[in-house]
Amino acid sequence: MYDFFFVLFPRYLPSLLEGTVMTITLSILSMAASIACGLLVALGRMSRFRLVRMVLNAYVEVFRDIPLIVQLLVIYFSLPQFGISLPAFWAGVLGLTLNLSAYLSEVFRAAIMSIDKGQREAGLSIGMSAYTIQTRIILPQALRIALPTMGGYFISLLKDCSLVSFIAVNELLRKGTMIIATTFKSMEVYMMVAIIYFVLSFVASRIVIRIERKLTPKYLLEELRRGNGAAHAGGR
Amino acid sequence: MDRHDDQIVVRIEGLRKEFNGVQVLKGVDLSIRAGEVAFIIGPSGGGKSTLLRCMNFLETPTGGTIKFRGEALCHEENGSIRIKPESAIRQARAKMPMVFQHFNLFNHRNVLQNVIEGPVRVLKQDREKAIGEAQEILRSLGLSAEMEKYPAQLSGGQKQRVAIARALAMDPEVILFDEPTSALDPELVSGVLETIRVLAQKGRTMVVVSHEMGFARSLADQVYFVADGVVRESGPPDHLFNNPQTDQLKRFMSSILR
Repeated sequence: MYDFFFVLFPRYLPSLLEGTVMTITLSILSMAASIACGLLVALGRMSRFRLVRMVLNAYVEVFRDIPLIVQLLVIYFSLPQFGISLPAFWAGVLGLTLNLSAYLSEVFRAAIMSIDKGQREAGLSIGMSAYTIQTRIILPQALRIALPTMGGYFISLLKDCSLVSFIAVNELLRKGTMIIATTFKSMEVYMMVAIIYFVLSFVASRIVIRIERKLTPKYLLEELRRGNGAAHAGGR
Repeated sequence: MDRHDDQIVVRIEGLRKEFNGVQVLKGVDLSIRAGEVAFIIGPSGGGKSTLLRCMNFLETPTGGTIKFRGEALCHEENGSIRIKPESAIRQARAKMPMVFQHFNLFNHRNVLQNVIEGPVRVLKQDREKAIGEAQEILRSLGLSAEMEKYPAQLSGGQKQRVAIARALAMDPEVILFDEPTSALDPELVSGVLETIRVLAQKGRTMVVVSHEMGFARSLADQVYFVADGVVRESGPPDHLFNNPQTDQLKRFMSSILR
């Protein structure tokens, strides 16, 4: 026990922290891209153009029906056959983003559809354009509804980043595996990796709660405290 | 005819609306003059709300003409309806806003923000100016203490008065009311009716779909009895209520007054 915490941990920590930074970078980049793409996909799936809806429905279906790890392997190993080769890091970001966008688009779509149609009609009735209604009335309310679920997906994403180790991105899990390859201390190192993942996710979920509080109007906070709000989706 | 001149603000001719093969409006004619308060009454399912919603283009008419200030927003050509481009419709809506049965206040904005949203985003008014005018309107409707509150914190009557303030802030030519008191608790109805009465006294042009017959009687300049998708009878309220011509209106009156 002493060895674990006071000898081995300090010895391997710098290397593991490098991996942690990579994991965080991957997560934040992919999350930001996924929010933007997911939102566009969600709006596109409610478009009045049938072709747009069909293409985007197909996209969501495909990316939800294939395991993330397989998607990453295809992007990294199979796409080069077609002349598209990406560095491992960007292949990882692309894979995570394509996958998460598909899921987030469903979250956004559900949130948008949950907004009472009277809100849209009220906007129309005073002469607002469809764009203004979307950006000023619908989306601000929908995003607040989607926020807890988005937070849940972000925490899932932090952990899903470990899959990117399969395509040779030096994130946390792969750093650990590399240490094990030279030291054979698999039991200890995997435990360290586990602890770091836990701390990462735990801190992230606190931050998510913070953000949620901050973005919740004061008059709703009371209601939430009384217990009918803020369910945290645990991810997939 | 003291307070109306002959200026017609809205003229509707032969208006038709069909939902999935069902004719809800079968050719409605009516004219709203400046300064006039018109009430639309009639049995449920008779097309009253659809008529009002067509005026605001929340429903797209399937036939007929709607003229606003002399400009045809829709008309028929070779048997099919032609509707003005979206931008023209939006301009008309901004001058003919609607107050809804269920208020439809923007839930994520406080009272003041609800009222300035239209002037700032649609009329492109200066924000400070819009705030000043909104405060003025809210004060006149007895809502000074509510300006910072969110819709969820208001009573139904307050919500409806905020909705009226939101319409007034557009500096409208006509205000459309779609059963403005139907969703209110009985004790809150009179406050909202009083607000509408004051607007009428100030010469506001209004079209009101309502079940409040006593209110219609005391306030309306014109009453339109709409049933089965057409205007069955119309005229000044005393005339219409004391002397109903059609069996349908007689039946409707007795069912209401019972």
